Amino acid sequence: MIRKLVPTLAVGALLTLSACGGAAESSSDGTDGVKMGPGVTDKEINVGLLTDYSGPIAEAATSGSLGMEVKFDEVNAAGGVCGRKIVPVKADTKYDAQQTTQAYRANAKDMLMIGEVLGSVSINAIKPNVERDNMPALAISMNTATLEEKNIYVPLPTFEVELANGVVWAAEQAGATEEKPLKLGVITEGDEVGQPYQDAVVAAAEATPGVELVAKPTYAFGDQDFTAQVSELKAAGADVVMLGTAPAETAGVVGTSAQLGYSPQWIASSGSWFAGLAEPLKGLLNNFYVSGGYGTLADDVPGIAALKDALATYAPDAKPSNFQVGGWLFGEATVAALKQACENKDLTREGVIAALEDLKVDYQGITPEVDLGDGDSIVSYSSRMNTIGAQGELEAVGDFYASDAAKEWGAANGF
Amino acid sequence: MTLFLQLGFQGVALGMVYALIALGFVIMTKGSNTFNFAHGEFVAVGAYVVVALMPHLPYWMAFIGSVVVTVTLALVAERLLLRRLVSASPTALILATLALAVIVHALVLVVWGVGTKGSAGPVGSGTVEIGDVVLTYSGIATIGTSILVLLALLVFFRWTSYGLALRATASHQEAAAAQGIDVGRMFALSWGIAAALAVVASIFLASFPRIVSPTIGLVALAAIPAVVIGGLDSFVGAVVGGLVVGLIQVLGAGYLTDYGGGRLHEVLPYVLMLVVLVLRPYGLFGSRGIERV
Repeated sequence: MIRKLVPTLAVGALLTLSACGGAAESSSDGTDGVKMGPGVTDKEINVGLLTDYSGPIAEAATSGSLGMEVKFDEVNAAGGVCGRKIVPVKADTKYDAQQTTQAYRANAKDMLMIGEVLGSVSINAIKPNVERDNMPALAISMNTATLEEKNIYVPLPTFEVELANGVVWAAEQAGATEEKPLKLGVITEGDEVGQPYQDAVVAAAEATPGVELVAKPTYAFGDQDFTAQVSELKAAGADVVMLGTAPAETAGVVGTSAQLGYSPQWIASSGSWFAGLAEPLKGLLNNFYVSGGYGTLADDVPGIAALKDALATYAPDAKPSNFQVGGWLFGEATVAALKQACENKDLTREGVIAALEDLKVDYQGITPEVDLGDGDSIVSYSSRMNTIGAQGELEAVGDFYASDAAKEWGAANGF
Repeated sequence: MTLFLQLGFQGVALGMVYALIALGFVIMTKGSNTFNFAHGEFVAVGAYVVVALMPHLPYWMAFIGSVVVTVTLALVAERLLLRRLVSASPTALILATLALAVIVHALVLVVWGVGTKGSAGPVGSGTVEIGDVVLTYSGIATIGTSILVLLALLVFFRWTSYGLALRATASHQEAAAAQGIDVGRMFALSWGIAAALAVVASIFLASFPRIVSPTIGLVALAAIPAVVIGGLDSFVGAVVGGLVVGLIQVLGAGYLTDYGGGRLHEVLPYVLMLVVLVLRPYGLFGSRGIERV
């Protein structure tokens, strides 16, 4: 009887503990009079980095995480925030719902906020916990579906904005008119991740005179062959194809197109490109553009100079990647929120959420300043077109601009 | 019609890759009574080693180098793990291979990092056209090589002493041992052949425009429905199953996108697998097991 009772009680206790993980927020006052929530002491502020360190999009994710970490290193070297060092609490989500839930449960009680949680899959997995625990979180799922989630903020232009602006840019470049229309195609994942991207392109095409949407094929996550999708685009005669794909699928689509003798102009969102694709797609990128919501490592602006200094100091062996820029910007937004919360003498989760409300973040020229507003809105409609350099790096071909088509689509959808 | 032929060619090419992977599963299952869930990770190791060696060696040497590394890894795993669990239950064996898969995957990440690499294929992005149908070099190479490998396996199992010994071991281990066959050596041989097949499959699974990434091991597990559909102990079944899965995936992506949220082609191989399991648990070409009680 006892042999069965003891393990049963132990398991029961464990389950109870896990169910309670991170649920309650306790607070106390620091020696400096600042109210402190979970993960905050007189010396440190714990910020969660829930991202894909070893799963399917780990290459981009680890670069992004590094950008954020060197931002924290830079701030810590200058004294931190509120005299406290920012400590990244890194947890591997493997871009998997179950792993993300486990990572959140294991670390939530020790985190003041989440500085980044990557991907719709992960966000959907933890959004009930984030709401229940009153956990402020910045989402690297630049997808408008994320905006409406409680306590979740997207501090950069979404991929939909990048794609909509890309449609307008392509039309202008082609001199599209009703008489000489630009035939447009779009390819996305055929699920809740890809649907908003397709919707934004469809709306931008309808709003832009002279653009005719002729094909919108989709693929399933994990597909290994894109002959069907490319054949559809080719048969429809699409002159320009918008890519709402993940980087591996970008390689598959562009490579298959080349093999089938189809060479449209490609316009990708920033999430569809990674510098590592330059080698396998060598010779196929002459007419490939990336619409990016933020600048590149090649920009001559104070923000990029600071990032390069931080990388040289704290991660000298890191290979350059534009996702480091994205991570740096998330670091900027996190630091801005913490500074505001400190100013309000409230480093609790409620304090950070209050600080995020209407927070203005100056990205030092990397992208125009944003206003986080109520957290349910697109923070900026600006993006910029880039070509691909020899090593896969992005090279700007114009200035940041915000198209009316993107704004109209955002307004129509309540963003 | 052109689209059908185009998709059919690509489907056959992808199906042959699955067939090569499925053959590895079958050989290990027949030779050592083990369904090795780590086989997908052997495919990953094969692809990563080829890509790592390609800049330094002629392609054929990079391929041979990868075969040496992957086969060695498989033999070590067989010797340290499988040989010690030879009398364990099938469940214990399966769990052991799952653990092995996790370990090998972690090893891949440690050695090569989380980044994507280039393509590992033996041919580039070239094509030839027959009428309106474009035949890719990678597709032609996949189909041609797969046929050669199948013929080589046929010769090996039919007409060589090792092949006959392996078949005897697969048929009845005790009886084979009584005939003087070194059963342990046959276990190792089956794992070695399967690992070599994994390398062949890997270079086509990562042929242009596909690239090597840490998830390639998971992608390789898409061959599992092929194994089940064809039959766990049938070489012919592995090939037919691989072709069925490849054709469903590629033709389905072309003709079924308006149904099932555009994901029918992803699900159908597994639906077919379940149907086969229910109606013919030993697969379309597998042997019905007979147990004396």
